[in-house]
Amino acid sequence: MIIIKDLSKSYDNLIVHQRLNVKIKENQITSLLGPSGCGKTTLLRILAGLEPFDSGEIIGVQGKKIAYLFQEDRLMPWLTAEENIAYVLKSKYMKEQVEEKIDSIFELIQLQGYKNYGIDKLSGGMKRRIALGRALAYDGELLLLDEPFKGLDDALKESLYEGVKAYFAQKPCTVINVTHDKKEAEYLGEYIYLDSKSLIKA
Amino acid sequence: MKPSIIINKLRQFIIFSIWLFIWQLGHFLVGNELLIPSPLSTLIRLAEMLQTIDFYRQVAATFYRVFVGVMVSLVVGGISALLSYKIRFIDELFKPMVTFMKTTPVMAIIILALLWFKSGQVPIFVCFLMVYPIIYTNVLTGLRQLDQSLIELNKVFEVKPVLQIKECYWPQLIPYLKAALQLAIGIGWKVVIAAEVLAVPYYAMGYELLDAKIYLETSEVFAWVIAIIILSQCCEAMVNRMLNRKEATYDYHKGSI
Ligand SMILES: Nc1ncnc2c1ncn2[C@@H]1O[C@H](COP(=O)(O)OP(=O)(O)O)[C@@H](O)[C@H]1O
Ligand SMILES: [Mg+2]
Repeated sequence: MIIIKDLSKSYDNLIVHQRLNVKIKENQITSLLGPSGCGKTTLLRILAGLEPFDSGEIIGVQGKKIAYLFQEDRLMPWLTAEENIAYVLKSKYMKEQVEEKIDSIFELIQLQGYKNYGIDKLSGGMKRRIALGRALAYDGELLLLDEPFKGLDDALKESLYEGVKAYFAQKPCTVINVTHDKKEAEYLGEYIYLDSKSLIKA
Repeated sequence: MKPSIIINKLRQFIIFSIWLFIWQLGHFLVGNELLIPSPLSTLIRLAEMLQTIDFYRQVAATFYRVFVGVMVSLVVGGISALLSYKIRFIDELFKPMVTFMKTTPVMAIIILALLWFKSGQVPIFVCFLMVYPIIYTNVLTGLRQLDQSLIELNKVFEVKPVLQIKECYWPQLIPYLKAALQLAIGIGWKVVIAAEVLAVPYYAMGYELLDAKIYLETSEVFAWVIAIIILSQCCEAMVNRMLNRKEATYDYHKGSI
């Protein structure tokens, strides 16, 4: 269980979270729903250790191997699609494992023919899938997904839901998935609604 | 050869011919071999120089000074830029020094160097003082432009430092390094020659330049200038080729689709 206890976070005079309490079960997908600007990305960044917070406690994250699909793709244009994914794997896995993972992940994101493409030659949706593939292939104990299916058409989204679900059925891990889409949240598992009322101007 | 390459070569040839013609015209109008020698007499003088062993000794000695000056600047500039990037105090400590180096006239530096060093070392020292701020400033700018979002990526995914440098930071720094080296080499040759003219070390292109002037061998002065330009351009082209090849492997994998 990951427990967020009385978490408060503000930027200058904008209070983003005030005494936020959330519990997230291990080894399943939990979606965070909420309107734009309610602090979803901020919460993921805090969990990833990239953002300091004012007060409160976070239990069950420390020491965990974290994979993060950022709200932006954060791909490196001087590397190919494949090299971008290999980049985060190389420090953790042997060469053969990296190749194996890359093969299966490219199948999952349905971009088998694009391994050697430069990032600038891919469409927005393709880039998103490479970034998603990079986060999945890493096999973290905690996986943070910030709007993973942003910019993808409905048909593709649905087949990716299947792929992602099947992937986690094989390799269970704790997934926190930020989305605007209630149907997506329902389909993937449990969901929590982040209340926009927690956002207060001081 | 592709037609576009032929047209390019042709254009280069025409531009070269125009400038050569202007030179010839200048020589013709001034009408004095001692003020503006003709291209032909300059070429003949250069050919004569090329046949002496001393020419190569002088070129080698000057090249060595430029090489050492630029290399030391590159290493020291790179390391100190990294320190300034990491440690704010160092950054602020270096600021007045770099400004001082950038604004002090070359001649003042040469004169000071003449007091401090042996004649052969003066040009190297002056080259370092002139080139170092260029490398330092460019590398520091490059470091400050590093993509912060990738730094976060590296942190979360615990990418090993060696891999971070090789595949993430180095490709971002190459354009800055290239720009810095291009400037550095051009300036390096100029200041080394200038310092040689004043320091008169035994083997030196700058010394020969001075010598030719004293004996009113204007065509020899011109020949040396041409030799200097060619050498400086060759150095720049070599470094560009090296860095371009490196850059091309990172450059969006242009050929790989
Ligand atoms: N670095 C920052 N500095 C100041 N304000 C920020 C910063 N990051 C986010 N915010 C503000 O915090 C609020 C929550 O942002 P965010 O977590 O990105 O929302 P969401 O992801 O739910 O759309 C927004 O009002 C946003 O403007
Ligand atoms: Mg967001």
